[in-house]
Amino acid sequence: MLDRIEFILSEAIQSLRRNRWMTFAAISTTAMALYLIGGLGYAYLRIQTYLDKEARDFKLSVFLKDGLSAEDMKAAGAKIQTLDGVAEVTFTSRQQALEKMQADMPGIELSDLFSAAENPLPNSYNVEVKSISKAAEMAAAIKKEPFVEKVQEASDLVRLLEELLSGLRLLGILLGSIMLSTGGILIFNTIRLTIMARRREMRIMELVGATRGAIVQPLLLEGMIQGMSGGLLAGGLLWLSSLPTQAVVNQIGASEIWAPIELPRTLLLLVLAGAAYGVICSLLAVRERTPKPTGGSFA
Amino acid sequence: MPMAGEPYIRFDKVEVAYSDLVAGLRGATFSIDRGEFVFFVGQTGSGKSTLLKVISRQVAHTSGSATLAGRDLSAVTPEEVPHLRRQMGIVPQDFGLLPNKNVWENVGYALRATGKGRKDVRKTVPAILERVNILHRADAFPRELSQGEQQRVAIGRALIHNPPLLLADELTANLDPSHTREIMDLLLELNLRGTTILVATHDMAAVEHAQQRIISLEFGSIVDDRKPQEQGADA
Repeated sequence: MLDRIEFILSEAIQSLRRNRWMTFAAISTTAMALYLIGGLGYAYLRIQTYLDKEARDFKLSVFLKDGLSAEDMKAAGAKIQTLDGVAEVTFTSRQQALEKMQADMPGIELSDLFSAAENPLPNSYNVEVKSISKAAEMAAAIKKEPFVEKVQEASDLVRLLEELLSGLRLLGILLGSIMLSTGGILIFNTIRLTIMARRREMRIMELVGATRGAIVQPLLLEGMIQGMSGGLLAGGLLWLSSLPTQAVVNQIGASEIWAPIELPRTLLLLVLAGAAYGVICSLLAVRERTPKPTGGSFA
Repeated sequence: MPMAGEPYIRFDKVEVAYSDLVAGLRGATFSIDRGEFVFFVGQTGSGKSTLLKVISRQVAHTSGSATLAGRDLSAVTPEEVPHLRRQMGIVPQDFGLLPNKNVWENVGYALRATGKGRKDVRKTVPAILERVNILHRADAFPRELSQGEQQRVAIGRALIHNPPLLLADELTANLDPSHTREIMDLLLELNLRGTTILVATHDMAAVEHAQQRIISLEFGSIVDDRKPQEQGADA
């Protein structure tokens, strides 16, 4: 068994050496593709995590019009609860709002400013949303209700992050697919070149009774090595470029959003992704180019 | 398993059509017993190489029946072809030696490719090289060998599975008369040890030197089949 692995490995390495420029091109392009996808994916995940956290803390404040009866207010709460994306609705009376404000501003005696009858704060509902991405849509729907005075929406930061997230998604798909296709074509071509360069060896292998598996395995391994090397390189690059990013993030106080890259996990993921990618590209090339028997067709 | 008395190789009206217009074989019928030495002779395009390729399943016949050791060759699946080929040795016309490997490595490579370990290679390669009398050039690369020596290596490589059958296509096409005799003597020696040998050739000097059965082909059809004693009688 070890002998077999050693043979397949030595054949693959020999071929990689023989086509070293093509190998270099395939590895570097795959690395760039995985770097871009990995980097953008990581940024996307971090922002998504932050937004999820924000969504958990975020509440829409729905201020009710003055003069609503207790029943109207109850009906308003029930109506809001039926809206799509609403997790929970809690009522805050004018008095509770005033008490909260007083608690938030202990240095000022609010009762000196206005009596209970003059309380300017409205009755309101606090609406917890399931997904922050639906907050704007939900606020617009609530605003249309006749009992609503005002709806306090998501902060500008959250909105900015939302837009950034959809931009990143688009950029990731666009750049990632371009780079992945380029890397794939290069790996595919490298394997095809290898097959052409190895035609003689493959013919001899066939004549002496080597199985198709024995002929194809070094080629698949070759693609896998290329993909894995690309993944390893991408992981290293990602980690290196995360260092200055981290410094900037710390400087602007956004460490809540960004967290350092975990090198071992990132490397493992990218190497595995690269390996799978390399094997798939090689399989496609092998299917297309391995020699077939000539003459009539076999049964 | 072949039945007692059944020929080792039997072709019955075998046809090979490469296309509607190009035929490799047209109704070839013959039988060969174990231990025979047979030459297939004819002009280029007469079908002699195709005939060997049908036996080694490099080409599938389109009609008729072809059997090897009682096994219907048309029933051999692509997955079984490697195992079939391990029961025979094939010497291609161009020798098929790997230029970047020396004599030892060329034979060793074929063994490794068919799943043999390093230990087996170390044990088997010298014995094979000794058998074809090329052990003394084990470290030489193909470009450093004479045509005859290259042919010996190719024959040695074909013997890695110790096969009962050896197929050789235009074995002596590029050899001078002395190398041709040398290679023919080697094949005769292998034949004496029991190996069935089939050689496709148009080299009549080689055929005359060996004095063995001759099957002649023309345009894919068998036109003559002479045993050695019949040749002697004709002469």
